[in-house]
Parts: sequence; structure tokens; C-alpha cells
Amino acid sequence: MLEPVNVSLESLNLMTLAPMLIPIIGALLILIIDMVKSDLDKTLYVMISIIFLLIDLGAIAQTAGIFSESGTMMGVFDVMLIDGLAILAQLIIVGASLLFIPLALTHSRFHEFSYSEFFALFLFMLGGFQFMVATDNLILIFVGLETSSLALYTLIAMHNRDKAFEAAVKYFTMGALAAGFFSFGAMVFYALTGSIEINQIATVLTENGFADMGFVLIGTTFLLGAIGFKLSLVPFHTWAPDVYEGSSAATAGFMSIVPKIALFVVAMRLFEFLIHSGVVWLEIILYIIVVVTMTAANIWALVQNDVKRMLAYSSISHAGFVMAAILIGTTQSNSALFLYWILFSFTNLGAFSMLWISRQKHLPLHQSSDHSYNKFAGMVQTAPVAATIMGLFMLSLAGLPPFALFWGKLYMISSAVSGGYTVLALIMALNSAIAGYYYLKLIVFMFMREPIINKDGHVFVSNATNPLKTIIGFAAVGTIFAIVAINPILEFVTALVFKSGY
Amino acid sequence: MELLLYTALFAPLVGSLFAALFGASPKTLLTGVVTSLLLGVSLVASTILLVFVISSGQFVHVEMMTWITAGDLYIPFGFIVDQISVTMMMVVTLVSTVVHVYAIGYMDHDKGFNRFFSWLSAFVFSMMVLVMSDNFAGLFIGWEGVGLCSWGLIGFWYKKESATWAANEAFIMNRIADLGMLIGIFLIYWNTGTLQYHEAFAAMPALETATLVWIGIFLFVGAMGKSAQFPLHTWLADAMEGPTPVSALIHAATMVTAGVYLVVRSHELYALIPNVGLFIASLGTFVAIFAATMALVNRDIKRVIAYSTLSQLGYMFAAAGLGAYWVALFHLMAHAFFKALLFLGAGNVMHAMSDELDPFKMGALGKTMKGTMILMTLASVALAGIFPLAGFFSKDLILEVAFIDGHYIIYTVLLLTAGLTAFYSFRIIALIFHGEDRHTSLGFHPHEAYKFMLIAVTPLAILAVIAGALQGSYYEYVTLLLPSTEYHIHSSLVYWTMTIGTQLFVIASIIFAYKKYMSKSVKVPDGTSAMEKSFFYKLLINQYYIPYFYEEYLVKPYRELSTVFWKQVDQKIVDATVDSIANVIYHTGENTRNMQSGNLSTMLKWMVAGLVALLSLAVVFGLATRHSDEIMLILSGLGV
Amino acid sequence: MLDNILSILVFFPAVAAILGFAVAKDSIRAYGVAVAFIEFALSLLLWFSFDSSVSGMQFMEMVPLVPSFGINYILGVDGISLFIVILASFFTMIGIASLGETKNVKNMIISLLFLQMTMAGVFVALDAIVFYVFWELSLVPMLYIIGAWGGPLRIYASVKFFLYTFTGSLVMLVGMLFMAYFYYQATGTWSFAFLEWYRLILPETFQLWLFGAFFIGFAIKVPMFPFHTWLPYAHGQAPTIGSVILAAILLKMGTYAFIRLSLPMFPDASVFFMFPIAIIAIIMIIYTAMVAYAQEDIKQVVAYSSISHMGVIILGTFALNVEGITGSIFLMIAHGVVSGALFLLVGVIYDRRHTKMMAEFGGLASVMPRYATIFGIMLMASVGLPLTINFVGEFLSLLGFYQQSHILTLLAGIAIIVGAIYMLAAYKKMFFGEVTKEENRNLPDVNKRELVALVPLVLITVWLGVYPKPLLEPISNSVESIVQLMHDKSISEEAKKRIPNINNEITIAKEAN
Repeated sequence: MLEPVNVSLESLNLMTLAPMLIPIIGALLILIIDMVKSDLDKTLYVMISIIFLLIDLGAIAQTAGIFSESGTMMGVFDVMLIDGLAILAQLIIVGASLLFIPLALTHSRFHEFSYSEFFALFLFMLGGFQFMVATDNLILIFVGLETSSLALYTLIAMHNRDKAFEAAVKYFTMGALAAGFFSFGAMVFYALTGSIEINQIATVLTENGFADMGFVLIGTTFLLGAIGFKLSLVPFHTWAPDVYEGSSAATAGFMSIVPKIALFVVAMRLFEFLIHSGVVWLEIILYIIVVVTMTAANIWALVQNDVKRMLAYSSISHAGFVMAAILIGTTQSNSALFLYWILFSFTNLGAFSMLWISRQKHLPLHQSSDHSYNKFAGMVQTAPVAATIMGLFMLSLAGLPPFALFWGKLYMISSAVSGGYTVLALIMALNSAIAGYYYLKLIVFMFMREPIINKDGHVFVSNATNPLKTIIGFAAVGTIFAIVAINPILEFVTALVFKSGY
Repeated sequence: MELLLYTALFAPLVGSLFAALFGASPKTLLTGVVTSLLLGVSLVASTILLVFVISSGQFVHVEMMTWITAGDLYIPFGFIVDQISVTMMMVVTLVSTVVHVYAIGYMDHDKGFNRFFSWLSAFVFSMMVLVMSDNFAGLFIGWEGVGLCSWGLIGFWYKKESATWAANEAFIMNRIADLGMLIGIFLIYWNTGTLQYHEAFAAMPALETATLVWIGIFLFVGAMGKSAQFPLHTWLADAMEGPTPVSALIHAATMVTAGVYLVVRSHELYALIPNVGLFIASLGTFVAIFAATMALVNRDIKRVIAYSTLSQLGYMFAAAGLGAYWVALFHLMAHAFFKALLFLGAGNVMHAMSDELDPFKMGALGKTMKGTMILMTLASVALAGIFPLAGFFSKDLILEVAFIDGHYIIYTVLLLTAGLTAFYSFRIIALIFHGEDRHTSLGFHPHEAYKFMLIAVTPLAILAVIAGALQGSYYEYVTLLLPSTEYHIHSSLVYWTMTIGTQLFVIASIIFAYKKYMSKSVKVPDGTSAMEKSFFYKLLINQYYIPYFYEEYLVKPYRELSTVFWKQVDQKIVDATVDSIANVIYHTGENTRNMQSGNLSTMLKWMVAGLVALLSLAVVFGLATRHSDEIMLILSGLGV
Repeated sequence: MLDNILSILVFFPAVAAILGFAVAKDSIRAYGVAVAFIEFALSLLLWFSFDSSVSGMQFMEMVPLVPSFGINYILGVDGISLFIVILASFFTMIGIASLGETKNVKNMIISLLFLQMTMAGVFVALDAIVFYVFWELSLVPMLYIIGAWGGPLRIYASVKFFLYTFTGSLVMLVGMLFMAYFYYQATGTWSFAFLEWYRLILPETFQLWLFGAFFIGFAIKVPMFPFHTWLPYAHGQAPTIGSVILAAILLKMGTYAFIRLSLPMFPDASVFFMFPIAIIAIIMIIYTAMVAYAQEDIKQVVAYSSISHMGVIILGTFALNVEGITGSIFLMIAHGVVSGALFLLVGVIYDRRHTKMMAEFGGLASVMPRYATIFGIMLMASVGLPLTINFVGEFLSLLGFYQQSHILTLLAGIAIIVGAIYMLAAYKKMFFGEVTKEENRNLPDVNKRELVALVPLVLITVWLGVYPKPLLEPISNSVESIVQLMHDKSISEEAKKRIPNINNEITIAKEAN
């Protein structure tokens, strides 16, 4: 007769679950409302989601408070792990979502937003991401990954264009493959160490001094494949352009930020201990992947003739750029990663939103794609303010001082220099130069060409509503005056990262 | 005294600026008059200064203001009036006053009347700066200033292609020499730490000879440019494109003698390096005869006179090089007077012959232009060095110097040149004023120049006659500053034979010239006569083919090389490289973008491919680590 | 007011530009002139309240930006930067004042004002990152000016200009980060402040690498051979005002940066690279002068001529003695004035004939005498005639370098010959000879608006040629302190030998007296 397992609630430390549960509750609430009374306006759902996101933010802030006092906390059978990385990542995730969700309030009514499910799924997805970052348990990570991914596929499909369905299917299929990689990789590690918790794995491996290096590497390879897919690192990036193009600009912007930060955290937890414990192979591979991803993506971005695809490639390249932080693996580089991503998030979101508000409901005949360069020709004459703001985002993405992203690049390259990766630092710098070209291309079109297609500036702001304008304005202001915020952010980030021992 | 100094210096500048005000507007006699008057003022001031210097034997030195100061370098605008500079001032102001007045008549019908006087006075100012400055930098200011004005005045008739070309040639050739001068100045600064004459010269004896030699050479290179010494001489003949008063003032009396002035001014330096001095003397001698030969056959009055100027400059350098600085300066002065006179006379002839310059087309002008004839003959006699005119005292002195110092080659050459000088001078005199009337048939109706023009030049004529008499007193005061080497041949027998011999030789060649060119048979050459076919004639008429050589082997290649640099190197190599880098990057994108086919199965393939690649690497690496020692063994077995 | 006059100097134009958006199109010109004038007045105020006897930094300002990473907003001005700042504001003023007929002139003037901000910023910044910010930011307005108002090839030219310089400065940025990291290692705190970097004595190998990194950034900006090919395009396509600012100020950033950063931070490397760089400078001088001679487009002649002159500036900088560096700084200003004026003059004729081909002209001297005169003066200034502004600079630069090498200076001195060749040839083609083209017969001479810009430049050219003392004194003071610093910092024997030690020179002088 077995003893009933009795566990004291305190030991569970359920507090650690709060941030993930809140969005899930929100999602359920939305579904219930919809069941009770359908055909309510999207504004309601938007606001509900915002409320829950704010609560979530509060919860995270609280955990942050506890963390700053008592350091890292484990919970729920030591499955949950709330440390600096988790908190930072969650802050970015929720923050970016707060910027994203109001984009639903466009002028022209888009199909996806008229479904309440959209918002429910969105919140589920967030929950998934938060689980991913707030644990070092490979299984939980996997669960989070899948929850979020499945939700994301649906969100994309909901855009309700042929391209959207295509994108969703592609993403789904490849995602499935990636999931396969992940589980297999996890399995290998379990077989090696008899544990699926990263810190356990680390200890065991270090104890036996990486006896079966070959298997470790195989496991790593598979995990790398999976993570690389989500982070759209070359050669696992092929889905990104098509998916970005298929999905709505807003969603694309969101995809380029939130999922990636979650995966970065996972990568950080997983790879850095490997590199530090002297798996040279991984270091070399990561080096190659980082460089290739940065450069190749840049070079492909050069030759795009649709702005959205260009941005897609550019975000791939940015991802590669940031991946360097994990390769370098110093406290400075890790904090640089978060700093960079915070700045990147609102710059990039701003850029995508600019596309979003210029999105016509139906593709005009003379236009090959939604956002061909020609569409923006001579924009400064028809819509000067919009053009200026767009130009601003481009300059920021190009890393031109004093705009937001420059500071991220600065700190990242500096970390490379201090980490002893001189050549890498140079490559990063030169890549920014290459990237300069395609960002400039859009500026050239907007400011130096005569209008080709549309003589009236209205199209550029056809979707603009006050909420959207507010968000873009927020992003723009953030981009220009980033310098004011750099120091507090940097100190906060560094403190957290350092405290969680990375 | 200082006030006088400033008056002498700045009066021409004021005149120039005044004339410049009317630069664009049509002719106003006013400008001519004002500038001339101001030059008169300057002349008077200089004269008073001269008297002061002579009487008191001391000199006036002022420092107006600082110009450049950086680090240890300190260059003021300082001016000094001593025996040397005051002589030059006299020459400059006197000749230029005469030329100004003369030019009022000469430029009478020219549209650029005002512009002309503005330039001319500007030139006088620069020349005054050149001679009065008390440091090398100041000298260089004047040096470049006269260069600029000569550019503006040679190219005065800027519509004439030949004129503008000559102007640029003159400027650029002088620039080449100026570089040498500049280097000389740098050397002086870094070795003596100053550019002030007296301090620099004071410091020089302490330096080792090599440095001094370099300084001497580089400074002389500068002098060669301004004084058109071989091989930088070609510009002077071409400079005759300018209006004749310009030729008289700049290219005969003043600017071209700047080089001589520089050498005289730096006598303390050259005294330390006699070898360089000898080189200068030899070069001078060579130029003297070299130019004289070219003058023999030339068929352009002004060019003939230009060559004679060149040859006389040769004399001056010969003297200066041999250390007879005061002689050089004396000849400089005398030469200024009669050569200016000669040019102005030629100007009258040009006017009369409506700018025709070929003496063969003239003849018997003496009937219509008595005044001019007398003046020019006078000048030629002086030039030829017939007793008792200026040339005799100054030029024969140089011969004696050469003789006494025992440089017999130099002596002989110079003597020979004296004969040639006499010949070519009287060749043109004869052709212009005597013999058959060849011009009426060609439809020329010559007329004598304005009275005041003739009167204006009389001072020069007088000086050309009496300057020689001043020799004694001149020697007295100038040698307070310059080495006072007396040149007296001890045995009076040798002295008299030499003097008289020279005289006879000269007179002989004069008579020969007259005989040859007054005969009825003289006609406008048409390239048929035997002489014109002869090799030497061709050689001389083509100025030893030196201009041709420069054109073919320096100017053209430079132009072509420049084009090559631009079209081939700069565009096809340097720029193309930059662009190609960009293009390579871009095309890599173009070629590899098809990786993004949008086809799902290919995408999946890519993912798997990536994974497999990583895996295989992993396996390799894993094996490598496991069997590292075996691998080592094998490698060592292979002898790696 | 005076305590943060520099900040005012930097940000006043930017603020004014933002307000400028509100000004109506037809009155924007007046607004622009007014703002530029105030800016210029401010810069003059700076000059008058500047103490020439002090060699160090004045009017220092300091605001922490990112203290945790050692980035501070530090401004300051000394004799080296003072006059370039004044020059910048001056050119912005006359540039706007003499602005010809321009399409959407409003954008033009606003971008000019922004440009003015960046220019002022670069020269007063004393923190590497702030310096870098302005340095990069200056590209944007220029990109727009060339790209939006330029000639047929404008987009190619502007993008080339941007990317080329951008690439170079990114390498420089890496160098800066390195420098900061070394400082961090040495002192344990991050800092990007120049004055603190000066105190850092680096081992020679590091110096060489860092010098290289900075060199790429600066050399492209100057531009030095063989990185110069963006310049002819930029000048060829840019509108007059663009070329004027570019030639007068933007190019000076590179040479200024050499003096402000490379020399005092890497004395040994400077000595090590002195001769290679001198040789590059000589190539610039002679080669580009010859290319200029081959040009058919007068604007290209001026463009290449500025490269040639920049060669002399570089040479003077690497003379590494007070005379040379002072000369090169003075020549920066001189070349700014002269080339700026020449570009304005080219603009004058371009407005009338809409061509820059010299073959199209000829005999202009009789048609436009005033124009010919001013052009002549500027030409003579450009060939470095004494008593014009350029001569002082060239003379000092060459004089300075002569101490380091006789033969190289002799070669560099060829500048005064080749310079005369292409300039006189161009002048002859344009102004001398008969008027051949019918349309040239009755061109109007320079008008008032153009004289407003040209006459002051002529006056400056002569004034500073005759009496350069007011500039030379403060410059020379500041340079002396830098040279002394270099001498004290330098490690290698060679460097100690090459870089004069002023203090003991002074003492020697004292003993002598």
C-alpha cells in the first residue's frame, strides 16, 4: 500500500506560476464572454487583453521584487525557475505584446480581428512563451514552445489570405520538424545524464568530464536545429521570409520579437554552460552560424524588392547579430542581448506598424506585393511626416547614432571586443555597413524619387487610427530619445543578469 | 625717414588700387596720370632715402607688423633701406615712372587702359617689396607678386591665344624655380632658426659647407627662374607677347634682374661657397653667348632685345658669381637704363608700323622717326659698350674682373659675346632705320610717336650716357656693404691694350653689321637664301630647338599622362575596385536568393541538410576527441 | 550663457530647424538667414570670450549620459577647433544667404540647419561616442541634400558617399570601443573622454592597430588616396551649396580628427606611419593635381584640387612639430574659405548656363569682368600666392615637414607647380580668348545676392593672408601643448627623436638669452 504523496503548498511556491497563469485566465475569460454573447466588437477584446497584460506585468514586477531580495527561486517541484533572465524575458514579451495588441484597432476592418478567438489564442501564446523562459526543464520548455507555436500558426492563418494559409502551413510543417529535433535532442541528453533539467545535465556532464562527447554533440546539434529554427538562424531560416510576407505586418513584427527573445533565453541557459565547459565544437559552430546568419541574411535583404520581405531578412540578420552574445557569453554580452532586444523591439515594431497602417485591404492591380518599394517612392512629398518617421526607423535599424538601436549595437560590439572576439566585432561592424544599404534604399525611394504609383499620400495612412498613431508615436519617440533611457535600462538589465549568474 | 620709406613703398600700391577702381570702366586718362604721379612721389622718396644713405652711410630699418608666427618661427613685415636695396629702389622707381608716363601715350587707344595701369603699379609695388624686405619670406612675397603681375601683363591682351599661353608659361616656369627658392628658405630656417637676413647670414659661417652649398644652390635655382637663366629661359622670349612698356619695365629693367639682386643680397652666403659662385659665373657666361647667338638671326625686334637682355643678365651673373657683387649691381643699374630705353624705342617703332615686328619689313624709318632713331642708336651704343657711355664702364669692368681673377675662358667668351652684342644691336638698328625703304611697298605709313613719349624717355637716355661717370662715387658708397674688391690691372700696358682692343673689336663688329644690313640687296627673307637653308641658321632661329623639346617631351607627355591617370587609373582601377566590392556582395545575393524558392519541400530539405551538416561535424569532432591520441600517433607517424 | 555656450552653439540650429517646419515656404529663406546669422554671432561671441593665451580646453561642459558605460556628454573648445567651428557657422550663413533658386527650398534650409548642428557638434565634442554621434549624423543631411537636389547621377553619388564613409567610421567605432576597453583594463572604469584617453600610454603594437582602425575612418572622410573616389561624384552631383559645405567643412572632420585623436593618442604609431602617410599625401598632391588637369568639367577641377590640398594638410599634420601642425590647421581653414568660394563661383556660372563644361565657355573675362576678377583672386589664393590665406598654411605645413624629410618635402612642394598648372589652364579655358559661344555673349555679371557671399570671402582671403596672427596664435598655443603631450607620451626612441620637446627648447632659449 503506497503512502499518499503529501506536499506542502508552501514548498510548491505557486507564486512562481502567477505570471503565466494570468494570460491563460484572460484567454479563458475571453472565450467565455464570446460563448455568452458573440458578435461583440473587437475593441472590447483588445481592452480585456490589455488589462490582463497589465496585471501580468504587475505580477512579473512582483516576482522581480522578490528576486532582487531572495535571488533565484524554484517552484512547483523545482520545475519553475524564476531568475533574472526569466524576468527580463517576460518583461520584454509582455511589453512588446502591449505594443502589439492595440494594432488590432485598425481603420479598415480586417478579418482576423473580428474573431474573439484571435485574442484568446494570443494570450495562450503568451502563456506559452512565459513558461518557456521561466524554467530550465526541457520538457516544460517543449510544452511552452508547442503551445505558443500552435497558437501562432493559427494567428497567422487567421489573416485569411491565400498567402497567409500557405505561410501557416509551411510554418506548421517545419515547426513540426523542429519539434522533432527538439524532443530528440532532449532525449539524447536524458539518455546521457538521466535528467531533463539543464542545471542537472550541466552538473552530471561536468562530473563525468564530458565522457561521451560525441553524444553530447549530437544532442546539442538537434537542440541547435530546433532553436535555430525558431530564431531563424541560417540554414534553418527559410520559413521566415514567406511567413512574414504571408502574415499581416503587425503579426510579422510581433513574430520578429517575442518568440525570439523566449528562444534566446533558452539558448542562453542551454548553450552557455556548454561553451563555458569547453565544448569547442559548439563555439566554432555558433561562430560560423552567427557570422553566416548575419552576413547571408544581409546579402539577401539587399536584393529584395518588397519592403516587408526586406524587413524579414533584416530581422533574421539582427537575430544572428544578437546570437553573437550567446557565443561570447559574458555578463556584458548577455546584458547587451537584452538591451539590444528591448531597443530592437520597439524600433522594429514601429517599422512594421508603419507598413501595417499603409496596408490596403485589397491588393491594387499595379502593385506586385503589399509593400513594394515603388509604393513608397516620393513618399516625402505626399506624406512627409509618415515618411520622416519611417526614415527614422530605418536609420535606427541601420544603427545610425543617436537612434535607439545604435546603442544596442554599440554595447554588443563592445562586449565582443571585451570578450576577445575582435574579428567578430569587425564582422559585426561591417555587417551594419552592408545593412546600411538596404535601409538606405527605402529612404532613397521615400525621399529622393518622384512618386511612381500613388499620387495621394492617403494610402500611407489608410489604416491609421489614433491608437495606432499613438503606438507609432511612442515607438518613434523611444527611437529618438533612447539615449535618455539607456543608462537605467543598462543598469537594471546588468543587475538582473549578473544576479542570475550569467 | 620711416615715413619716406613707407611712402616709397606704398605709393605704387595706392596708385594700383585707385586704378583698379576703374578697372572695368572704359579708359579714363585720370588713372594713368594718378599712377604716374604717385610713382613720381615714390621716386622722390627713394631719392631722398638714397641721399640719406649716401650722406650718413647708415641704413633705415623698420618692422611694420608681424606676419607669421608659429612655434619658433617668427616672420615680420620688415623693410630695410641699405646701399643695395636703395640702388634697386632707384632703378625700379625711375624706370617705372618713365614707363608709366610713356605708357599713357602707348596704351592710348587700348580698351584696358585702366586695368593696365592697375597691373603696372601693382607690379612696381611687388618689386619694391622684393627689394626692400629684410627677410627671405618678405622677399618671397615680392618674388611671387612680380610673378603674378608679369602673368597679368604678359597676358594683358587675353584674347590673344599666344599671349595667354605665354603668360601661363612664364608663371609656371617661375613656379618651378620658386619651389627651389622655397626649399632654400626652409633650409635656412631649419639651420639658422630665422629668416631675417642679418641674423641668418650671421649664423651661416657656423654651418658646415655642405648645407651652405645646398642653400646656395636652391636659392640660385629660384634666381634662375626669375632671371630666365638656362634652362628656364624660354619664357622670357615668349613674354614679349605683352605690351612693350611691360617688356621694358618688367622683362628688361627690373623683374628679370631680381635673380641678380638675390645673389648680390646673399653675397655673405656665396662668399662662403666660391665653388657655387664659379658655377653661377660659368652658367652666366654660357647664357650670355647662348642668348647672343639666338639674337643674331631673330626676325622680331622685341625678341632680339629680349635675347640681348638675357645675355646681359648672363654678364651680371658672371660678375656676381666671381664675387664682384658691386660690379654686377652696377651693370644691373646701367643695363636697366639703356635696355628700357631700347625697348621703349622699339615700342615707338611698333606703333609706327602698326605692331609689325619684322625689321626686314621696315628700313629707312630714320626719315620719319628721327627722335626714336637717335634714342635707340644711343641705347645700342651704350649696350655695345662704346666709350664713354654706361655700357663701357659696367660691361668692360666685368671683362676685367674675369681677366684679373684669371678665368680666361670666361673672359674670352664674354669678350666674344661683346662683339656679338654689338653686331645684333646694330643689325636691327640698320634694318629699321637705314637702308632701303621696304615698308611703304607693304602698305605701312609710319609716324613718329607723341612728343611727350619721347620726352618721357629722355631721362633714361641721359642716364644711359652719363651713368658710367657715376661709377666712382657709386663704388664709394655701395662697398660700405658689399665686399670692396678694386679691379685694376696692374700693368697699364695690358690695361690699355685690353680696353682699346675691346673697343676696336666692338666697333669692327658694328661696322660689319652696318655694311651687311644697309646694302641695297637686303630684302624680306623668304626662306630661299642659302643662309636660311644653313644648319646653324635653322638651329638659331629655332632657339636650339629647346622650346620644341619642351613641348614634345614635357608638356605633351604631362597632358597625356594626366588623361591616363584620370580615365584609366582613377576611374578604371581605383573607383572600379570600390564599386566591384559592392557589386560582388550584391550579386552574391542575386545568385543565392533562389535558395528561397518558397517551395516547402526544398525548405525542409534545407533544414535537414543543415542538421546533417552539423551532425557530421559533430561526429567527426566527437571521434576526434575520443581518438585524439591515436590521431596524434598517426600524424607523428606521418612526420607532421 | 557663456558656461554652456557650446551646447547652445550646437543645439540652437537644430531647435531652430524644428521650429522652421512651421514657417511658411515663401519666408523660410529669411528665417534661415536669421537663424544662421544668430548662430554666426554666437560663434563670434565664443571667439571674443575665448582666451587665446590658454592652450587647453575652454568652456568645458559635462553631462553624464550613460555613466555605467562611461559615456558622457563632454564639450570643449581649444585653439584647434575654435576657428573651424566659426568657419562652419560662417559658411552656413553665407550658404543660405546666397542660396539660388531651389525647389522645395524649405526642406533644403531645414536640412542645412541640421547639418550645422552636426558640424558644430563634431568639432566641440570631447567624448568619443558624442563625437561619433555627430560624425555619423552629419551624413544624413548631406545624403539628403545631394540625393534630392543633385544632378542626374545624384542617387548613386549620395548612396556611395553615405555607405563609403559609413563603412569607414564603423571600423573607427570598433577602434574606439577597443580604446575604451583598454582604458577599462588600465583604470577599471569605462570612459570615452578624449582628455582621459590622452593620459593612457599604450604599448606600441596596440597603438599601431588602433591607429589603423581610426585611420580607415578618417582617411575615407578626408578623403585620402586611394579612398577618394566618392568625392568627385559627390561634388559633381551635389548642388552648389552642398559642395560648398562638403568641401569647406565636412572634409575637415577627417583631418581634424587626425590631430584631435590619432596624434595625441598614438604618438609612436604616428611616427611609425609618418613616412607611409607622407607618401600617400604626396601621391594625393601630385596625382590628383594631374587628374584635375585632365578634367573637362570645372567643378571636377575644383573637386580634385581639394583632394590635392588635403594632401598638403595631411603632410603638415604628420610633420609632428608645431610649425607643421599649426600650418595644417590653418590650411584647413584656408582651404575651407578658398574651395568654398571656388564652388560658389562655379555655382554662379552654372546658374547662368546650366553647364559646367569648360569647353562651353571661353572669353568670359570680357563678358563678366567682376566675376573674372573674383575668380582670379580665388584662383591665385588656391595656387598659394603669398598674402593670400592659403599661402600661410601651405608654407607652414611644408616648412614643418621639411624638418622630418628633405626629399619628401621637395616632392610635396611640387604642389605649387602642378597646382598652378591645372588652375591656370582652367582659368585660361574659361575666361581668356575670344567669346566663341553665342549664348555666352551677354551673360549677366555677378549679382548682389552672389556678391553677398563672395565679397566677404575675398576679404577674408586677403585679410588672413596679410595678418594671420589672430588665428595662428591660439592655434599654435594649443598645438604646442599637444606636441608636448606627444613627446612625453611617446615610448620609442624614434618617436622621442622625431617629436620635438618644446619645454626644453624653451628652457634652452631662456639659457641662450
